Amino acid sequence: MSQGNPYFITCLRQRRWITLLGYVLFTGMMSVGYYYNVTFVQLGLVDLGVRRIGMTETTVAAHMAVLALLTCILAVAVGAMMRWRGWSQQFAIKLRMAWLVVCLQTLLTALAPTINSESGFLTWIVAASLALGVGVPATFSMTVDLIPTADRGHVAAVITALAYFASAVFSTSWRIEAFTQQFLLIMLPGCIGLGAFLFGIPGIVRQLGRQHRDPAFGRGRFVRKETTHRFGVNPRLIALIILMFGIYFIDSLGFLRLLETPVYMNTAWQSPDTDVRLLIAGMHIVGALTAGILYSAVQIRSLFLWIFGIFALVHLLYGMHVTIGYAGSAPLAMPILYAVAVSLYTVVNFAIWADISTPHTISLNAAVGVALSGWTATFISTALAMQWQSVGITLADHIHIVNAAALLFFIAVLALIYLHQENVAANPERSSP
Amino acid sequence: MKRMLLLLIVLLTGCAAQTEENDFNSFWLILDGTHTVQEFGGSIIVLGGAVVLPENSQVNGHLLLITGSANIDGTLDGSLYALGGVVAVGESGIISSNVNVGGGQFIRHPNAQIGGPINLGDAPDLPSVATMTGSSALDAVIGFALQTIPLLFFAVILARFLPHSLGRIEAMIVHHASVSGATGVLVLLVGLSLLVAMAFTVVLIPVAIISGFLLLLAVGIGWIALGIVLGRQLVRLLPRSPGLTLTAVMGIVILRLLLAILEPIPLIGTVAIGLTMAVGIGAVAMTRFGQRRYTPPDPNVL
Repeated sequence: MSQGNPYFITCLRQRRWITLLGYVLFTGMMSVGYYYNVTFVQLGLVDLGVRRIGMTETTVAAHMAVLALLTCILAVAVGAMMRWRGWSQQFAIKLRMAWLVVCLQTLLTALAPTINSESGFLTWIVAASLALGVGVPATFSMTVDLIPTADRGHVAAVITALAYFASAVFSTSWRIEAFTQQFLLIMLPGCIGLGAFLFGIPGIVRQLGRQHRDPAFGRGRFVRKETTHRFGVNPRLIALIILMFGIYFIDSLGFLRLLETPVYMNTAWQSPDTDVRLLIAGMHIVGALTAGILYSAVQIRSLFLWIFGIFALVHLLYGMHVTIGYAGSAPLAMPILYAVAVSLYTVVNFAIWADISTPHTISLNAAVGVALSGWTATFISTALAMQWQSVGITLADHIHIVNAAALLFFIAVLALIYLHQENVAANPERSSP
Repeated sequence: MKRMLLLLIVLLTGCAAQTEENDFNSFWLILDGTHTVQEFGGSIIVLGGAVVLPENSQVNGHLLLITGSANIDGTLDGSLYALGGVVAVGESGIISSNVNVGGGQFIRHPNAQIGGPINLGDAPDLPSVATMTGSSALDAVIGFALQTIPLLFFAVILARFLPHSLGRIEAMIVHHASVSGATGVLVLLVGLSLLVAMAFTVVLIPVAIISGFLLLLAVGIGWIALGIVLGRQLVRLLPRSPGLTLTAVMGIVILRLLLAILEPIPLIGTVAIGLTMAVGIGAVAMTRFGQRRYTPPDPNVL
């Protein structure tokens, strides 16, 4: 390894089993949570609304936008409250919140297939928003307690690889009943196990809760000095939110249209051929591991360049394919590149918020970061896709616009890097970014 | 190979577009799978898989077959060009214009209707490296030599004239193998996709050719650097350390031998070749072809 041995190797050598248990707990929680989000929430709810309840796709999309907006507002509110009350630094409270969220989500998952009206669907959406809004700051802020700074890229890679591998291989049927059955099998034991861990072995919980005092855990990679003021604006946070918003927006806006184009789904993510789905799952793993290694080996700005560049390229390829006749099959190169780009940014998303935070600021930073980039982008892209559909924008035009957005961000990051280097050259004594 | 064929298609498409105005303005490219076409207003290019024109189907355009197969039982209102693969024209098949067969197999039912002349070329198929002598062992040796000797020649030149650049790439592989591999994966994935995208634009074909050459050069230099790394381990066993050139030659031969042994093994062979290629090309990319040393970033800088 270029950056010395990973921290968990040291823990293994020193037999620090409780610290290693923290790794397992965090990786398990986050990978299942993300798997739930990309399958049950993003795909299962559409099936529930359209097929089971009989709503139009536009109405379901509008409800999904409500889910995104509510989650965003709730996450920021909960994150701010956690920071204000000091819960951000109390692992036991965060774990309790996470456990309650898992319990609520398990209940909601079990109830989902029984919903048969639009009002029931909307109520479910509001309850799910509450769970997600609490879950985001609670779980993301556990990073400072459980994962040392040196290993955040690697752990994020494992989480991403597990979540996307499972969603590409195991989610063969995008039906709510199948998702419910699958997730109840994971969530019910998870709910019981997490409860037993939380209430059954408080000593271990206390020990894990003290880890953030160790600078190896509590000091984020990009934190230079402790921010003591309560709601100080962190320019790095704002820059990262804008960049992550761009990525989520491009991904969501492009994928929303691809989802509705059978040739691209049936030959890739929903292919009846297991080999194809395994290949995509494999590329997700390759992408995640690549990002996990590069996260600590190159500057993050380079990773952003790769991500925007790949998104621009993949949409260019989709655009060309639409132009030359997409009525046939679609080459696998496109979903492969897409999978790599998605894995790259997911790894960054799992690691970056903790790396610009201290235990004091993590809950709000993570909530604001994930909510304003991920959920707001989802809300806006869904609304925009609905609007474009209503005015009859063609698939080719849709893809070209997404491609243009990706290129725009790519050039913006390039320009920022250039300007920063110029600034450093002009003021060497103020070389801090 | 497939990429070369893609370039060929684009060139052919360009030629066709020049000679027969608008004929290839709209086309359908088939790369794999079986596709039944009932009606299509444009030309069809088959680079793999199969295309089927059933009875009463109508295609208003040409059919260009590079590899794969085409079964024509409907109407092709245009010409058929076959450079390879298998074309079968059934009893109810109609081709309104020429049939130009430059390679592959052409089977025609006696009742099939062909409007223009049939030009059956007798150009021999290009022999693959693996089937040059008829003896599989000898073919394997010749194939190995054909791939390794140019690499050795190139290695000797680099070791003689650019030893410092090779040293930087070698250091990158030795000290940052995982970073090299990760970068190499991205460079390969993006590089190959970009080449195809550029080739499809037609006007960027010269750029695609130059980029392809650079990518190939990077793969070659990466393998040479990997060979040197391996060679350094081997020369430790010798009583006297040979120079860089000999170390490189020994290492490259051993590396190529190892890869040749692993290549036929399913999955392992592909992973081994892919991984060495990625590590090599990543090291070349991170050091800008050996022009600068890689330094890990300041952990505080975003």
